[in-house]
Amino acid sequence: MIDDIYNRIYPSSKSVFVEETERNLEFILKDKINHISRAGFDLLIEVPRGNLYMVVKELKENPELNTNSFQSIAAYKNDKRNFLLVNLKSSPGDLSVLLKIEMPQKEIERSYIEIIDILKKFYKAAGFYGYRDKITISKANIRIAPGALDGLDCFDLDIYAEEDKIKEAYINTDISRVVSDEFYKGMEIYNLIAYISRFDWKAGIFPEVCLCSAFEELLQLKLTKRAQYARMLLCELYRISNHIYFISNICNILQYDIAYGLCLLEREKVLRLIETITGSRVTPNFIRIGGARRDIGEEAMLGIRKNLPLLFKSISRIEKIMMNDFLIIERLKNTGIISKDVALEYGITGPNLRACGIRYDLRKDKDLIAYKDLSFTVPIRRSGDCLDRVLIRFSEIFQSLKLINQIIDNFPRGTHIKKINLSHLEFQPGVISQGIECPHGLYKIYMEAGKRNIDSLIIKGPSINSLILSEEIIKGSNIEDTDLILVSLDISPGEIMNI
Amino acid sequence: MLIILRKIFYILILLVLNLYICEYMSNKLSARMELRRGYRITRAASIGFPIIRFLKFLSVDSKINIWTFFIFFLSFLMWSTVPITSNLVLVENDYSLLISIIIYIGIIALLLFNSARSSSGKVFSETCKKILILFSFIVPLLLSIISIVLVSRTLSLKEIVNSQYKYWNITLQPLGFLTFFTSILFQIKLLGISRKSYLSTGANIGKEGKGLGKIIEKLSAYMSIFFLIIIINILYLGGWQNLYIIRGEVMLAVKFYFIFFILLLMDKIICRIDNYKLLVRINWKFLIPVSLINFAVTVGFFIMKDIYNLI
Repeated sequence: MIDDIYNRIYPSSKSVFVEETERNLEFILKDKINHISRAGFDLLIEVPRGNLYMVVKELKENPELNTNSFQSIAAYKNDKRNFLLVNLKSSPGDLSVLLKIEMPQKEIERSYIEIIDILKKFYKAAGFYGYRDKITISKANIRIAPGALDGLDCFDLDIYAEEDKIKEAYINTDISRVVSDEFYKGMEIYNLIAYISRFDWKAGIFPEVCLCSAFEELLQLKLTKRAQYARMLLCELYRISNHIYFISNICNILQYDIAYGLCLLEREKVLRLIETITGSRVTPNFIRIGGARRDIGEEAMLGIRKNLPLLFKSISRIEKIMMNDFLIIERLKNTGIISKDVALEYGITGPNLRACGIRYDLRKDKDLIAYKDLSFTVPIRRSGDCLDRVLIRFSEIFQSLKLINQIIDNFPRGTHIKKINLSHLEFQPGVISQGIECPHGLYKIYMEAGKRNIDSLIIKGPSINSLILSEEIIKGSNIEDTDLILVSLDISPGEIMNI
Repeated sequence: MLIILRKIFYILILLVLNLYICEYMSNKLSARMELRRGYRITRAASIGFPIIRFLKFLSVDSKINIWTFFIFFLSFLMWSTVPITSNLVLVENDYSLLISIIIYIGIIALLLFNSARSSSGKVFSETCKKILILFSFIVPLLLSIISIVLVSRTLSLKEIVNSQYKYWNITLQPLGFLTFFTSILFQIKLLGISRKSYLSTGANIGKEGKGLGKIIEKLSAYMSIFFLIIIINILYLGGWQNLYIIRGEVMLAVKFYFIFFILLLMDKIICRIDNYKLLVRINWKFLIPVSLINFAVTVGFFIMKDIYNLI
């Protein structure tokens, strides 16, 4: 009964609205675009370069479409032709659009700058991808080198401060570009699945799930219930592990050693549970197309069931310790405030968005995997400061524990997980875009597939948007708050490897 | 000459041993996730770790300026006037308390100015704020020291210990002890025992290649903490006075490690305090009024009893 009520509240009304707008979109943009089609998660619109300004203007200013959120830009090559992919989104959960723009063979850089200039007029965040005036070292007071902050070794940060207020900030991600844009070329699919989890090493299962479900959608493959439940179980375990790691990082920045030690102990427990299922901790290499590498045994299930109450007890103890300390509350409250509009404008997703007061969770809104079977609510917070970002993670941990409890209770027995021979895999050529709600936000994969191999693959994590936003929030805050703000946005370095 | 050399040798040995033990204890207390690589003895929170850390700093390219040499010099000079036991003191004079406090303030000032420069050589006005905070914590410390001097009627550290043969000063000056201890705690919190110092977070964060300079800074921070613990022992807890049949030297060591352990625990329990307004509030609304009350009560007592012939 309760399941039905919850399931009715969230996605139903929205999805009807989206279908209508999608139908209208073709009519509205009729003359300005080449082609429009649905590619899994998003609407793919092929736009000629000359019409880009008009299309973006229509998308932004038409009250029916209202794509006010800028997600990402990515350049890629397919069959010796260069393309640019721009992802725009309307207010959360409604409409997601991919603009595919073909670039000329010559003078790519010039046309790239032109496109960025057009996008900059409508979306502030697009400026990050263009050529920016760097703060010179002589002007910058402080340069925060990578490695100065724990777990954030993916960018340089130059700061210009007057008194103790930061006036200008410049984030440079050149140092993190360690992966080639065409790393997938010539790679077998099973190698790719093993490789891809390093694109989010804080929660390695999510890229795997995203990629495999993209292939499944391409193959029109239906998963068994047991495989779906196994995926959900691992996703929730990794979500808990990631959130505890986040809290430990906050404690580390605050030099609050007691809670820091406790958090790491709890994370160790969760990682051990994951280890019993997958055999590894950081890069699981567990999910396969159509199922998983191996079945989950009864012993592992029993182990998880035994540990759930212990985990709940110890994590609630950590929350109690932290939230009873007025020094911590004072430190976290009213630092790094993100307002609703700014959050939407920069396209941040996940717990960071929910801390600003916007209820958007892909697990509910798009019915991922088999989350429809489970009953849960999406927690939100109002003010969007560091304290809310910490508290929302705590409530998500407790929610995940409850979800795991439900998953284990209803775990389908008997049916074995399907396995597909990856070396002889053949599929229909097509375009697919797939997303998943990872602990940092919306993790997305865009793929153009040939008959036997992948022609192009774009991986976009949510941390890039958080990073772009952090540059904005740091301006105007105090010097000593910089590290706290950066850590509170939960930026995963793995996702920034290929911007 | 030989006696002085022997004394210097003993003092150095004691300081290095304490440094090693304290560094080991602070590592042991802070639970940290480390790479499980290498020999067991070289991992974090093991006996060999302080040496490994020392070697790690040595391997880094070092940038030393003239101020780090001054810090190094002063942090050892401080121990020439502070008596560790009744015999183990290099220079005996009647103003040893005054001299050691002046040297301590000098070390702190040098430490602050050394860490206040940014990577481009500028000094922040925010740093001035931090310096003001730290020096304002020295005000209650000085006030409680003056009260002790009034009670013991001397500026010599040795005589202050000798005057406590019957009762420890903590029984006469409980409020003074409280303010002294709290101000030490905040100074240690600001200087940082085991973790990155708050004072240098903004400015020093991007500096690469600290190397030998970093070791000297750390060493002098430890020396000033040791100094404060020894001073609190001497002023309030009876120094090297015997306790029944237990020898004074042993008692001093026990008291030293007890106080260090409590300070270390407090350091781990309290989170980083870099809220300027909060620190000012704690200092001006709690520490300075309490120490002033203590001072006023002490002065009032002596005026009433007419010990200094003031009336």
